[in-house]
Amino acid sequence: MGKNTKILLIDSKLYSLESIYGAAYAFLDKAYIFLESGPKSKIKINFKGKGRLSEKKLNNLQGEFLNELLNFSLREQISKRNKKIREYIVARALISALPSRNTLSPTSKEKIWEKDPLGIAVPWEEKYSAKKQRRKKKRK
Amino acid sequence: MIIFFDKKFYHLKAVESTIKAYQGLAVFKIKNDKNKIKVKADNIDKDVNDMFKEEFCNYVLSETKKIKSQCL
Repeated sequence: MGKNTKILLIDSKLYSLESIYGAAYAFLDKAYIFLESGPKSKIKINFKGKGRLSEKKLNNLQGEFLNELLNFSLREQISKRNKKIREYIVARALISALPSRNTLSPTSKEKIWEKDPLGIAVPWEEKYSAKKQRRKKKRK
Repeated sequence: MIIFFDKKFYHLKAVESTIKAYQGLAVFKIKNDKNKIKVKADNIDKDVNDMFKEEFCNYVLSETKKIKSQCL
């Protein structure tokens, strides 16, 4: 083991590889990390500080890394637990974004409106004033 | 300099993309074995020789992480 280096043995039964990747990725700017297969089901993490670090600082960095590992492990568990509800929320959001049957393309809507088979578009005054005029003509 | 990457933890595509990024700093040879990926680096640039291996391995790890998270 070289100077400025620590070797961590992580049990793969306790921590998933995704959590290890996550923690390692977060520490890439602080340390050099190399992964190897360890004995039994363990993962050997070679942890080397960037620049010269004292033993105490290196231990602190190693502790922070282990904390980050625990953090990622928990995040992964929560993510798995909430997977269904997340998928449900996204599905609802996508469905609500789809156009409904009533709001078809504007051109077809306009065409229907232009036809006006029930005479709804005719103003009230025009409709009834025409009838009144006819009645007046008949009386005369 | 020879580096062995365990295939359990490192992705071949990650090693290849790292070699592509580092091709100006050394001459690389890559061998894909059953369990390990062997990378041989020769004529390493003197300016980066000190930390070449560590930086290279970090880069491969970051690329592997990116590839794995894309697969999820």
